[in-house]
Amino acid sequence: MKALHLIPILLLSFALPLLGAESSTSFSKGNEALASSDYQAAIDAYENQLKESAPTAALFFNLGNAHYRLGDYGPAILAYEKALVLDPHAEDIRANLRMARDRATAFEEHSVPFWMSPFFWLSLEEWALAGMIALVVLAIVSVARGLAGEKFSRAPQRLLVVSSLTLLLLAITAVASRHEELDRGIVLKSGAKVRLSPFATADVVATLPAGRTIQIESEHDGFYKIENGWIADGDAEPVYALTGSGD
Amino acid sequence: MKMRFNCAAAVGLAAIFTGLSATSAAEVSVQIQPKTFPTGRGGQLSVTVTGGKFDGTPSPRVPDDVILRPYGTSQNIQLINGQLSQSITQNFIVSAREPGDYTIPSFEVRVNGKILKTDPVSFTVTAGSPPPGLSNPSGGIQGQPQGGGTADATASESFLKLEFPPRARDHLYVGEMAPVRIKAYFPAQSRVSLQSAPRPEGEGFTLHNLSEEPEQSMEVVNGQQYRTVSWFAGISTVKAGQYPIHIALDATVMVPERSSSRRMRPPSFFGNSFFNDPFFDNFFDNAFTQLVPHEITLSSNGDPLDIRSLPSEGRPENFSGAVGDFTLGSYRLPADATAGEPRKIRVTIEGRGNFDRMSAPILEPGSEWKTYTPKTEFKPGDATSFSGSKTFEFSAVPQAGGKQEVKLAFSYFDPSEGIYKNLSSPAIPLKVDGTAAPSPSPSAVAQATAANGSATPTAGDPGQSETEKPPVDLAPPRLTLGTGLPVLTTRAARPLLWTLIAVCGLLIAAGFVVGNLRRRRSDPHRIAARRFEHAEGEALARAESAATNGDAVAFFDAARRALQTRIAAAWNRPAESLTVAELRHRLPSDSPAMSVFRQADAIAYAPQATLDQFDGEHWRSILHEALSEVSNRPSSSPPSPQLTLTS
Repeated sequence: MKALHLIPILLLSFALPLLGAESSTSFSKGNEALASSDYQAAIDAYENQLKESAPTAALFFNLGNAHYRLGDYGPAILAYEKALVLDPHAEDIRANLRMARDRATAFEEHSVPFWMSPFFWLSLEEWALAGMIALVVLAIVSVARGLAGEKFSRAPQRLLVVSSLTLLLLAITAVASRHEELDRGIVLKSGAKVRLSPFATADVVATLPAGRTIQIESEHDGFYKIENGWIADGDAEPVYALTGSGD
Repeated sequence: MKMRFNCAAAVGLAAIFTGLSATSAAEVSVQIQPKTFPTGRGGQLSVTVTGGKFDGTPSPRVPDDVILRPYGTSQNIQLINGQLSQSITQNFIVSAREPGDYTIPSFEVRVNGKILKTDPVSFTVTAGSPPPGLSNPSGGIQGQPQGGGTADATASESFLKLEFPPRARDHLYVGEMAPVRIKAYFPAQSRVSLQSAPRPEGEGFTLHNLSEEPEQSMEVVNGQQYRTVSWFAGISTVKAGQYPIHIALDATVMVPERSSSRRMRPPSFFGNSFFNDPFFDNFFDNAFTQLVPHEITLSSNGDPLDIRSLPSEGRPENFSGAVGDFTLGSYRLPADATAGEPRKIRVTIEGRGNFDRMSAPILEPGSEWKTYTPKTEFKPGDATSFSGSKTFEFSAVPQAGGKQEVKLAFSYFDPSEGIYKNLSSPAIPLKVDGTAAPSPSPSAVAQATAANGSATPTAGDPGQSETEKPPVDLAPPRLTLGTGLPVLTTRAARPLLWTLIAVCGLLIAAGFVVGNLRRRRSDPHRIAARRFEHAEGEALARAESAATNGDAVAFFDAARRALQTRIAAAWNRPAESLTVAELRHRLPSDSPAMSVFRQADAIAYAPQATLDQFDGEHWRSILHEALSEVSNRPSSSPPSPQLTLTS
C-alpha cells in the first residue's frame, strides 16, 4: 500500500514549484505603468514579475498589451500566444492576438480536416493534462488491483480502466497530430535574417517579418533551425517557453 | 637483404627517437631576423624550444604599434658530438606601423607541461621609404609588373586586375549591377598570406556578393609566371558621373632575398655554367635564401567609368529601381476573395540584374487592394548573384466586393536598350464577396509597414507612410495576476512530464505483475495441484522407506496412495471419486499401475500369503513405471463409478 502514497507525493512535488501564492508587486507596478501609457516601464515590470513568480495568463496578456501599444507586434504576438497556452479559451486574449496579427500582417492560415476537429476542442495543454490524469488513474487502478486483489470490485474497476484508456487514447492522438504546435516560435524583430548555417557571418537566405510563426526544429549555439535555415535566438522565441526569454 | 636493411633502419630510428626522448631539460629561445628593417617590411620572430615540444602555440605580447602574424613551425634534428638534439621553432612575422625601437617583452611558453620564460627581444624599424611600386598605407601597387633583382622588386611585381565581361556599351546606369572578376597576381616564387578580402575604395559604386572562396591558379604574364587569386563579385553603381573603379587588397608577400642567395651560389668556372639554369635558381634560393616579408596593399587602377542617370522619360509609375533583364516567372493569384479578408499572393521574377534593389510587382487594380510588405526569397543563378530568381509572397486585402480583373504588373529598366519595360500577368476575372472591407484601416497598413521596417508597394494607398497610434480597441489588461498552474507542455516541463509518464507506466506494470502473482497464488486448481504434489510426495517417501525396510504392507499402502493421488491429479478428479471399475476400464490390465493395485489388494486381504515373496527393489521400479504411465495417459475417458477404491 505504500506505493499508493507515492502518487500524490509525486504529483505534489511536480506541481508545488508552479503553484502557490505569488507576490504580485511587479505585476501591479506594470499595470500602473500601462495605465499611464509608460509602456516600456510596464514591460520591464512584467518581465520582473516573470522572474519572481510562475507565469500566468494575465501576466503574458498584459505584457502583450504593453508591447502592442509600443508597436512591437512580434513580442506582442508571442506574449498573447503564451497567454493562450495558459488560458486557451480566453476570448480577450484571442481578440488581442488577432489584432496584433493583423497589424503585423502575420496572418495565420488554419485549415483543420473535419475528422480532426474534435482534437481542437481542447488546447494541447488540456489534452496533455487529460492524458496525464488518465495515466495516473490507470496507475492507481493497476496498483490497487495488484494490492487489494479480489477485494477491489470488478465493476468500478472496468469502468475506470475503459474510460481512462479511451481518454488516454484520445489525448495521445490529439497530441501526436498537433505535436508540431509544441515547437512553434514567433519572429520577434522585423527583417529577421534566416541564415544558411548557424553562424552570424553565414549567408542570408531569407528575411522574415515580425510576428511570423516559425517551426523550430532544433537549437544550436544561439540559433534555431527552422524550415529554410537558421535564425538567431534573439530574433525569435519558442511559444512553449513560458519564461521571459525562453527556458 | 632489403628486409634486413629495413630492420636496421627501424632500429636506428627507434634509437634516435629514444635518444631524443632522453635528452636533457627543455630550453626556449627567441630571436628576430633581421633586427633592423624599414616600415612596410617585416622580420621573422622565431621562438625555438630545444629538448621538448610546445603545448599549444606560443602567444607573445607585443607593443601596440607592432603587428604579429603566425608563420608556421619548423623542426630541426641535429647530431653534435655524438649527442642528438631536437628543436621546434614557431615562427612569426613581425612588423611595425611606425619607425622606432621596439621590444617584445618576456613571455611564457608552455613546454612539456612546464612553463618556461623567454628573454625579451628588441628590433628597430627604420623610416626607410618603400621601394618604387610598394604600397604605403594610403597607396597601392599600381600598373603592370616590373622586373627586378631584389626582394622588394619581386614584391612590387604583384598587382590587381579587374575583368568585366564584354559588353556592347561603355557606360553603366545608376543602380545597374555589373559582374566583375577581381584578380590578384603574385610572383610565382613568393609565399602569400592574404590579410583582407577585396574592398571597394572611392565613390560611385559598391561591391556586392563577393565570393567567399577565391580561386587559385598559375598564369604567365609577359613571360613571367604568377600565382593568381580570383574573386567574383558584382559592382553596383550608386551615382552618376565619371568614377574610377578602385578595389584594394591587403596581403603579406614573402619573397626570397635574391641578392644574398646569389652571393652564396657556387662560382662559375665555365662562364655561362649550368648553375645559371632557372632550376638551380629555385634550388639555391630555397636552400640558402631567407624569405623577406612585405606588407603590401594592391589596388586596381581602372579607367574612369561612365555612370549615367536613369532616364526620366518613359519611366513607369510603378518603377521601383530594377535594372537588368527580367521575366515574370510563376505566380499565384487568388481564385476567390472576400472583402476585408487577406489573401496570399506569390510571384517570381527571373533574369539578370540588381535583384537587391528590386521591389515586389504590384497587384492591379491597385485602388481595389491593399497590399502588405512581402516576404522575399532569392535564389542566385551564379556566383555573383547577378542572375537568379526572386520570389515575393505578400498579403493583399480586397477593399470592396464586386467583380474585377486582377493581374500582377512589374516594370524595370533595360540598360542594354536604354528603355523602361513593363511585364504583366494575364488578367484573371475575380468575384469578391462582401461589400466594403471592415478592416484593416489605412492606419493599420501604416502600422504594418512600420512593423515590417521597409517600404511597401501599396498602390492606391497614399496614407501608407503615415505612422498613427494604434486605435484604443484592445481588450483591457487584467487586474489580477491569477494562479500559476502546472504547465505540462512547456519546454522546461517536458523532462518532468516524461518522468511522470514513465513512473505511471512503471506503476501500471508493477500493479499488473503483483495482481497476476496474487491471482496465481489463489487459483483453486493450482492449490489442488500443490496438495496432490504434497500428498504424493509424502506417500512416495513412505513407499521408498518401506521398500528399503522390506515392509510389504506399508509399501503397498503408500504405493496405492501415491498412485491414487497421481491419477486424480492427472485426470483432474478428486481422489475419493476414483473406482476400481473405472481404473480397470481405463488402464490396461497388464499395466504396472494395475499390478500395483492388484498386489496392494492381495496384501490387504491375504497378507500372509504374499509377504514372503515381497521384493522391495522390484516393486519400487514397478511403482515408478506406474506413476510415469499414469502421468502420460490422457484423462478424456468418461468416468463410470461403480466401486470405491479401498484405501
